[in-house]
Amino acid sequence: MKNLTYEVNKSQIYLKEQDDAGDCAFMIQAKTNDALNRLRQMKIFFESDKVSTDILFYPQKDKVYQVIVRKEVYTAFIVHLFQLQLLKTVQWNGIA
Amino acid sequence: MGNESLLAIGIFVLTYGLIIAEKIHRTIIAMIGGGLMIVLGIVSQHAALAHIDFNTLGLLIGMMIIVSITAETGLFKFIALWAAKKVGGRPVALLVVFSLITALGSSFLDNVTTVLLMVPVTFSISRALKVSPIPFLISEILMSNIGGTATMIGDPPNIMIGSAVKSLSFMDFITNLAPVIIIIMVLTLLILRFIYRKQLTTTDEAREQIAALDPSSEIVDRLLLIKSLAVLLLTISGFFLHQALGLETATVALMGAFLLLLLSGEKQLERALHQVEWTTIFFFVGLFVLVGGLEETGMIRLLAEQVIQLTGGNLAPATFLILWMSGFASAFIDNIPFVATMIPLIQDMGQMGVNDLEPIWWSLSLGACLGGNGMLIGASANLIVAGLSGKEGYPITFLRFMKIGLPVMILSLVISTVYIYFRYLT
Repeated sequence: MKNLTYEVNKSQIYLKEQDDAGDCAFMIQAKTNDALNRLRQMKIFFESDKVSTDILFYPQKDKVYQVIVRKEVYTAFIVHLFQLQLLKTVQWNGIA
Repeated sequence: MGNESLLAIGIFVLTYGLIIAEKIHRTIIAMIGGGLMIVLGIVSQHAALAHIDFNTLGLLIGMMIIVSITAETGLFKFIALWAAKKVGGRPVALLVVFSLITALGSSFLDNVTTVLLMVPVTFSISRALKVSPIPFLISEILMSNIGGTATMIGDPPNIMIGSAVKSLSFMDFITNLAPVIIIIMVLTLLILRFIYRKQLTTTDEAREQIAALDPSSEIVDRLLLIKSLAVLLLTISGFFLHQALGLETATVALMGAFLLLLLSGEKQLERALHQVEWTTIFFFVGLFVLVGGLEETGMIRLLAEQVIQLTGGNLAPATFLILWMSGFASAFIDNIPFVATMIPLIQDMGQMGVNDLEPIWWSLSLGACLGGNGMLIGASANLIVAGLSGKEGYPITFLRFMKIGLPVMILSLVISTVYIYFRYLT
């Protein structure tokens, strides 16, 4: 999303975002066990909500998660990363 | 026919009608119907309690507890992801393995629980492969009903039959039902493969995403997993040996459940008991009392006499009548009340001179369980998958399902007819 920017907490995770067939695909690698636990918490949280397919988690080797996020829940996902302190800042740009 | 009998029929028909109408929750209707049988003096409270089959209830509760704790470990997700990876993300192969997992899961666990475990993984994998989840979901619905037919604990009709007919063991269900179920499963998969052949394609890039998966990450509690697997294995072994051990299946399931609770600690107790589907349990309680009212007034016996008159007391026509009637009835109405009514009716037929009831029991099981595939409203698992699918933006409408479900159901009943004829009636 163009008007929402964030700064990754690089001591905890590596994060790469790209477009995936109209959705957003994140590749997130936990750098610490603590960060990995936080990602797992986030996975449990979003998997137990009302809609299963809005945010999908694909676990990979080396503490990596590929996460596919529908556009309509993009902000909620970013805010959750921020809440878990995996992002340092989140900011709206170009709003009144 | 006395006033009491007419009253019993009136309550039964009204309750049945309200259950079919689905305007009020079926559990409330069944409990009020059962309660009226007692309040109006058709059946005494003491007799009502005697009509409640606590073996069916205990088996359901025990298995619900074991499954809810095991699901916490991430085991079922692990199995699904591992299977998806093993077949290299090829959609056709995936359709087969997800169907087999669902069928196998449903044969030992409750159908609804199995589909609730499979559906989220199905959405996840189909999204990664960029294919429609519909073929997989339809297949899982069909397989949950087909697979559940193969064992004594797979589907409520079988649990009820197994509990009511003490001479039928856990192994009897497998040896008599599993062969025909395997044939039906293979043919159903071939039909689905043909129908969805154009939709089951993906790209190499998408398959690479499946290849990169690490299923072991899904296991969230390894210690609990070991405990759950050990208890699950012990419980299933107990089912196989229940007759030799002189134990009812409910005792085996409840002992397994509380052993697992002992091993997993008190923190699981509240949550596990909360996960038990008490609405289903009370639905059974109400139905048992309701049908008890019909039994007490001699109505079931009267119906059995009609069936014997209709079939001339011959085993083959009676068997096929039960099979096809159960199949079509279960496609439209809940198979639990139907089977609850049919069990005493068949027992009465035995007392009236039909010597070998075994083919009739297997017909009731095959008809009632496989009939659930005929319509979307035929089984709870069908409605749950359709509900979840619709919420995720992939609606499975009544007609869309019927176009596949009804032919599959009719084919299943034809195969069952041939199987029963050659195995038991020649």
